[in-house]
Amino acid sequence: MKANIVASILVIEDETPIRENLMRFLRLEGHQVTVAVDGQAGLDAAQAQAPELIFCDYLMPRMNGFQVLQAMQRDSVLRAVPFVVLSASAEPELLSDALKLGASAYVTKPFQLEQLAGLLRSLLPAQPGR
Amino acid sequence: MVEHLDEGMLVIQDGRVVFGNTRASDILRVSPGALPQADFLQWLHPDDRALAGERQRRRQAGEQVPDRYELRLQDADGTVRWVETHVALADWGGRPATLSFFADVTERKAMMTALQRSEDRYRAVVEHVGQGMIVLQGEQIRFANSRATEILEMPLQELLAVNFLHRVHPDDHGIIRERRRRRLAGEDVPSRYEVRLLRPDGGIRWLELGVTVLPWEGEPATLTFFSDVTERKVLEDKLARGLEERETILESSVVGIAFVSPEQAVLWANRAMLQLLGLASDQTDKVLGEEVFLSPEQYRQVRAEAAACIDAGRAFDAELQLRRQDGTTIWVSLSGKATRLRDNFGTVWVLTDISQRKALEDQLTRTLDERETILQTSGVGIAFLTPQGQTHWANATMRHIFAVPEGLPIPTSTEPLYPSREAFLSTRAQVGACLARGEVFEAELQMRRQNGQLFWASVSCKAVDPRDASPATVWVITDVTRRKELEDALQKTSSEREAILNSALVGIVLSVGRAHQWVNARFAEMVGYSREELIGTPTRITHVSDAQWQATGVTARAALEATGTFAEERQLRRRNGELLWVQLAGQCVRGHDPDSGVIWTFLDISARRQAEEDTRAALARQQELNELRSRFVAMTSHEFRTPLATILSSSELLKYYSDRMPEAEKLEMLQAIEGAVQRMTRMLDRMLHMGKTEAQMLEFAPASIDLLALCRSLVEEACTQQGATPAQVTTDFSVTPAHARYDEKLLRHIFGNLLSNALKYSPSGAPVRFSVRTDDQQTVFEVADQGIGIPAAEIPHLFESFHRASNVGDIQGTGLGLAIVKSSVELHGGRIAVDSALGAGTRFTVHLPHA
Repeated sequence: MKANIVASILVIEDETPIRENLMRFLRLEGHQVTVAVDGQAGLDAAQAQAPELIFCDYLMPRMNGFQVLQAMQRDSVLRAVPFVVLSASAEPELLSDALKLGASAYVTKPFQLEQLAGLLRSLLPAQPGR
Repeated sequence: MVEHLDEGMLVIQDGRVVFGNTRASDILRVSPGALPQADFLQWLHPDDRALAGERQRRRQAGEQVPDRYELRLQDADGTVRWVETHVALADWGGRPATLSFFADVTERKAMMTALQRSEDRYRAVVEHVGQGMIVLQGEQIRFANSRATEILEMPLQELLAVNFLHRVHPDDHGIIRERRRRRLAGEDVPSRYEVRLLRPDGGIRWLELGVTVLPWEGEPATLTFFSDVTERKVLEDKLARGLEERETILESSVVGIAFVSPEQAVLWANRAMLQLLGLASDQTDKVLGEEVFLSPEQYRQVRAEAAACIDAGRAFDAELQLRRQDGTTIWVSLSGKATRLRDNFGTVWVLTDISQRKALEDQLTRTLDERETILQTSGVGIAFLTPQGQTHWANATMRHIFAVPEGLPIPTSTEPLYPSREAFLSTRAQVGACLARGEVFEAELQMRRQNGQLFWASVSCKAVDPRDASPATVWVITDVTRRKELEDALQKTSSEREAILNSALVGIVLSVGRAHQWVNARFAEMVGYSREELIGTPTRITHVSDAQWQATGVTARAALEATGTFAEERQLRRRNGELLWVQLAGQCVRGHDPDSGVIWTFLDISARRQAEEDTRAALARQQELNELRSRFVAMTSHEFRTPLATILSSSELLKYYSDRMPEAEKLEMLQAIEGAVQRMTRMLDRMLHMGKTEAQMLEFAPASIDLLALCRSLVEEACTQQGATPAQVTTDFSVTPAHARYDEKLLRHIFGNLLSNALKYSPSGAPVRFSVRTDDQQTVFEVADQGIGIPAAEIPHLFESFHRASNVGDIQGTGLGLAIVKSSVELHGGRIAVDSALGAGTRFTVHLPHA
């Protein structure tokens, strides 16, 4: 499941084991990963680093995933960054809300690593030089 | 039925006529259409309106008011007529009304007035007549005036007790009996004669009698006028013996005296004779001549009769009318007797003026005739009863009422006129008591006609002479059968209606002016009051509140005025305060006029309402359950998917990348899997716990435990779980002894949850304080944080399953923790209290009694 792209990716997730597994997977795939433990920290990190892709949990303390998404949509630079919502809820309403707000994808937990690899391939621009 | 009644009938409610029969409009002389809604007082004579109105009002108020009285009507043309009215209370259209029966008694009244007047005249005549007067029936004196008692020298009571003949000289008994026999047989008998009265002192008094036949209380009797003529008799005797010496006396006599020769020449006449005949002193020759008689026939007849008498050696006696010189007539008593005057044989004529007596006699006879006519032709039955209670006389109407066949006498005994001997005796006793008190007996009695038929009679009885100890009585009877039948029928229909209304399954109320005028038993039962309590009471009593009463009044009135009806569903307040759902409908008694009264029906729909309420509640509960279920689904989904995500991602990393991972990292991921599995197990435990609690299957197994050790380990676990350092939790344990008997598993639920919550809902990492102390026979635990707090409005629902406060935001939780805490505390027989301020923190206090 090699993705031939290397990018800077921000992971925002309050559940420690999931956050760490995401970080492991993305680093093993050769990406540059930054993590945040809640919504507010995630937004701060995004503004500081301008990542190329963001994975963000939905249910978190201090700003949930949608609030982070909305804040980014208001930022002229960040609004162009692909935003993937990770959610423990499989409710279709939540999925459609996320897409309406500007999310690029909505992934329900538990997820398979292959799903994430597919997203990396489709959301990151091809960078043959790296 | 009411149309066939002889009497007028009006039904009056609130002073207004609500019904009147045809006869009523006849009597009132108005068109039948003018009766409904009319104010009945308008037809009455102005002087009687106040009385009638007052009685009407008092009767409606339940006071005792005479039910029979006479009123005057005044017609449009001013004619005054009398009606006799009989009033009864009745139920009409479910409301009390007065039932007024009346008959035009103007004629009867006129008759009675005439009778009264004739009685007065009669009394005046009787008492002012200068002569004695007695009424004889057989030989019994029925009546004597005061002059009679003077002349007969005997008090009235004794006179009435004796046989008249005992007072008469035995030599005169023959003539008296003879004349009466012939008189009653219808023969023409001279009305005037003289008899000798035996005086109490043994002496003799001459009476001149003037007798006429008359009906007396329905039986033939003789009315006898008499005057004491002893003096005249003495005079006549003297005359017979010779006038010479007494001429002067004769001249001064008030009696006319004349001496006539056999050749009819008037030899001498005194001054009184001339005066009586209106002749001048030089007209002696005309005394008793043809001119003084009314006609030549009369003159010849008197002369012939007189000649016959005198020739036979008897005296001639007559009462006749003569003509005075001035043309007027005079009633005289004329007697002639053969005598001798100064050696000349001839006739001495004595002339007495009886004009006055005659006039009185005529007047009296007329009066008595009139009285008799009145009694006989009266529309009411009239009877006279003897002091012994036997029928003495009865008029034609009475015969008619009792169906006594023509020609048969009225029964002497009145007992057969009553339905039974008991009724007869009872009435007799009542009449006796009434008369003894000097009162008039009045009643409506059932009586029996001669043909055996029973009927209702209005009866009044009074003493002829109230001074008598056991008086003769006058009875006045009218047949009121028709009216009585009607009353009974109305009563019957009324009670039938009442019974029907009362057995109705719906409540029925008649309200007037927003007060209960009548209610049926069912309504009383519905609202829990007695009918007596409700009737007359404002309808407010069954309304939920003043406001509701006012509001309903406005709405209902508007609807009733617009359509005459009104219907709604609302609650009634029962006496015990319970509320009752009813479906009610009201209809105006008349048209669209709520003031005419409104008839309400009430249907108890509380069962239906209850069912509706139950359904609504069930739906609400269902909705709540649905919400709970969706909350549960969302929560479990999240709570299971999160650890599953850890497990799946860890296992995939191990599967695909283990060759590129250091051993320590692999171990970390295996531990993550383990942690996730534990988390899911805990979740399952909690759900099972709640399931058991709801099914009341949770076990309580207390054992001696080291409370402090347990508490310390719980703090550690909570910190680990919530990612906090143990330093965030300050503890204050002062428990003696350290061991206590509690269920460890349940204690773990209680304080594991409370501590986790305290840490979880203190996002800023503010310190949490956990204290445990012994207090009397219990242990008091306190877990206090300085976190987000709980909205006050949500505290009551705090311990419900899946309930989570509105301010939790994205802080994760199952909504099961506090529900589990509560059930675990309760299993220990303890209690839990919460004290919280939004944004300032929350403190849970748990009291667990020592086992």
